[in-house]
Amino acid sequence: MNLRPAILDQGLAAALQWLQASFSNRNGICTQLKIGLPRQPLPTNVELTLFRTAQEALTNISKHAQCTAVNIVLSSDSDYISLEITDNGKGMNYPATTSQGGFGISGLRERAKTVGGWLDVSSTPGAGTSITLMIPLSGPDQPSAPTNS
Amino acid sequence: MIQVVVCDDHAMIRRGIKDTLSEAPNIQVVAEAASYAEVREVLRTHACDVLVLDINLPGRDGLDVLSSLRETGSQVKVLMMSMFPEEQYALRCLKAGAQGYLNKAGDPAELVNAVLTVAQGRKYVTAEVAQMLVDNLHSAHSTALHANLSERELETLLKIASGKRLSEIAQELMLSPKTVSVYRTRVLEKLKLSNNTELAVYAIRNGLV
Repeated sequence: MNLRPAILDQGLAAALQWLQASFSNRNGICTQLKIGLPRQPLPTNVELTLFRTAQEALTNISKHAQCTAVNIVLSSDSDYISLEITDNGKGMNYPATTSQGGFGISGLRERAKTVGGWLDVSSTPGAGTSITLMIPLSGPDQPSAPTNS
Repeated sequence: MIQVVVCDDHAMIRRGIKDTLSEAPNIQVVAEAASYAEVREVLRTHACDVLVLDINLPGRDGLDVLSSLRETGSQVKVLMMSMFPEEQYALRCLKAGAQGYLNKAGDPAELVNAVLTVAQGRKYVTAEVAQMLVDNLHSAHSTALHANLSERELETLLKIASGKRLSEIAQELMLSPKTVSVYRTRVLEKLKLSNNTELAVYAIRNGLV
């Protein structure tokens, strides 16, 4: 999983488009992708984390979600880049699922940490699942965002 | 004869550009520069119609060079060049006063074409840049600022506008407070607002709440 896939050499946008197209073709699920990249180039490990998270999330969706639509949004501001992957499937009772070690989400959490980021999973049974990966652009050594008002 | 100055920090690239341009009968490369300091000096001592300028220079980069040229009222035509694809820099360069933008991955024949075009006082854009300009035109007319928000960012906006605290929002959206805080900052940035009150006003004015 840590090998860099060749498609990433074409850029993160191309790699995500490729993921989206192959996922959509294979599963017949309507998949939308919206990309908002920051102006500065991303570090390779951040690109890789975003790509692998998208890939893993899509794998989970094809195995478990039983959904008809998926939405992938890569979005950024001056300090953070985020990846949201949302489906309209059957959802799950999170976090109960992870205590059984399911869905590789703990792996994704660990991966997010290696680039100073974090992962949120929100899901309700019957109302789909949404995974949000947030990564600071300034690198893992910077203090994290101020919490709450 | 069109007089050209080439500014790039890599000697082999300068050589390639020079050789490519010298194939055109009416273009002459009169000088080369490898840095901001050198290009300033060269422009003082040589007559120049077109400056072919790399974006990535050591020290002050090409965009800096461009804006300082424009600040001093220099009339030299600037053709920006970079190894980055068009979407990263092209519009910024054009906005900053460049006459054209080229991707180094492009066809060398494009370079000659571009120099000839900007020397005539016209702008040079590749097909990719033209497409982006048209897309921009379209989006400026037909969409509001909040159309650029993701679903989650929009939900955050609506909940803030309806007076909810970040911790409540985090709970309702099942996100960590950190994420909601980033969304809030991002919404403010994207909508060009500075605080929650302005955010609420925006939401009301645009009929979102």
